[in-house]
Amino acid sequence: MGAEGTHDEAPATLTAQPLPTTPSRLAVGSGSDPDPDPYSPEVASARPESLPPKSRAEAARHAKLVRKMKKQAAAAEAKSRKAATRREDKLVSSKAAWMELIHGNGLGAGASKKQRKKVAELLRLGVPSSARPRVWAAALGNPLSITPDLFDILRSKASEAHSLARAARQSGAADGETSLAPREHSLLGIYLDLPRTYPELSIFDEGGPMHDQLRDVLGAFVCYRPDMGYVQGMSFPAALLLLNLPLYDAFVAFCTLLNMPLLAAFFRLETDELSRWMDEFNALAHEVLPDLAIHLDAVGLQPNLYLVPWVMTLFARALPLDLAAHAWDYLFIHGQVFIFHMALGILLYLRDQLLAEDFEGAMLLLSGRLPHDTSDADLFAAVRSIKLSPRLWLVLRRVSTCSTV
Amino acid sequence: YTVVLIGDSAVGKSNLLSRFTRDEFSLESKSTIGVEFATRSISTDDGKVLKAQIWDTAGQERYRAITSAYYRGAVGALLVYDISKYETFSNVERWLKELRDHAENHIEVMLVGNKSDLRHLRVVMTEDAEAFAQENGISFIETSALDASNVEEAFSSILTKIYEKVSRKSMNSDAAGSGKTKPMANNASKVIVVDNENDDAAPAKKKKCC
Repeated sequence: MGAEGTHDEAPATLTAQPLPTTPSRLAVGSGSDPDPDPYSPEVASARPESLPPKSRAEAARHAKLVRKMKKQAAAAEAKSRKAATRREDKLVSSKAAWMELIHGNGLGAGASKKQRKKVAELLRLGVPSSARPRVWAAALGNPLSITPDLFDILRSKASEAHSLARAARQSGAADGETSLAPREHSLLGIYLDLPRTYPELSIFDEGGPMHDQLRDVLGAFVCYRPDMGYVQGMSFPAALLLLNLPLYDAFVAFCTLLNMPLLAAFFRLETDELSRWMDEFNALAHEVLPDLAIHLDAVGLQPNLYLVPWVMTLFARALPLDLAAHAWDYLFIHGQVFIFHMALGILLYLRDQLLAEDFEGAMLLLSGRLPHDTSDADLFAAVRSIKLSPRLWLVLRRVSTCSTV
Repeated sequence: YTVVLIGDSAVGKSNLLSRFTRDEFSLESKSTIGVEFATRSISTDDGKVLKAQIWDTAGQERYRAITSAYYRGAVGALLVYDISKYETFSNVERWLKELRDHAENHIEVMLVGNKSDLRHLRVVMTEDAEAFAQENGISFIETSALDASNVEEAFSSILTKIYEKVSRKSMNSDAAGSGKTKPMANNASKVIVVDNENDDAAPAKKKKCC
């Protein structure tokens, strides 16, 4: 994307007005228009001075085309709006079914076959946001037995430790080695990242409505797991949890997630361990999406370039908010094996585009966020269509039993 | 050419990159996880087009294990600090050490004091940074990704230097024995060229990368 050169009289003036209104200029050029632009719906009035005017016939044809395109666009929009409404209605009405599943213990390992089937069916649309607090909390549970008191203690510890770390840094200037555990210094990093987490929402900014909550979840976590500390990336899943759960529940969920062996392994950021997982993932990709995996290898795009941020934010940065939440519906119910599954699904969803790109283009696609209008149905259809071969299961099993801390 | 952007968290690396490659600046920037990437081409005085591939790295210490992998292929590094935050400048030395440990010996390094628009908040004096750069044989510039001042200059200057270095190297690759070819000392100025006259005085690096 070159930033060079500013195109002033850009062809970007596509203000589609219905009819040409400059008869004098039309008269001049009538009959012979040497260089018509068949692709542009733009009309004579929006035409740059430097171009010869259109003939009357051409202008009329263009106007007709414009009207036709507008009509088609309006029809398509109405259709998709209708589909969206229908989907929305269905989603909202699924709340009762989810509640029933929760009460019947249908989300955990002990679910009956019938319940599993129901869950799989409901997951296609995802959990309605009104039911998410209950469903997520029930699906994740509280295996670490974190109590509200513990959370309060950790919170106040975090705020003390933060003052200490800050004082140390200010006095010790150059290198802030102090009595704090080394990774408790990472508390300072939290403050840098709060406003840089979903910045477009502005709710985690200093003084923003959820700034303190995000600070508390992350700070308390650092004191709970000083061996891990704060690692950049964590703020995104914490934020997405807070957007869906009350504060304490979000903390419990956050600790539970980071206790998943795969996630813990990524957050340790040890090169050997990471590269082992990259190899596993790449082998999987070769099995499930051979043409794409070969292409990405050929252009030199290694999985670590996109997989590290995907995993460390649990897709909270790579997907638009609603799609990320939908991915988490699956993740919380299926557990961490779903992480690689989702990653493969995104690759499959982008496959055709990726195959047409070189290293740079592919990297841009994979390191950005999928566009806002990405179709939820299409993306998750791609995810579901990933076939779970025996080998895939084997690797995913290894994922779920991989070495713990 | 591959150039890496390194430096502490929140000093403005990603915004420098987006200013240079897309002429964009965002007050609402996101923290970088792992590495990000962009490219841009510039032309040299002699009409050559240089294509730069710029890797933007996460600033947090813990990421160094993975980000340092990107130093390896890099021919240039912009080491960024924030003129309004002293510790980001004190950490520059650590970053230099990172480069020494992981990058090619002859990597071209430029120290960049970003956020120069924050005049009233300045705590790192230009002279101090200049002196530091001189001592370490690296070049230096102050920029503002926000008002765009010197951003273009920073990138094109490092790219031009790399270009000159590379073309010189290919020219007298065999005439390696001359001049200041002493092997890198094991101390502070190792990263960079031994050339303390730095700047335009031809960073004549005949350093061999061992």
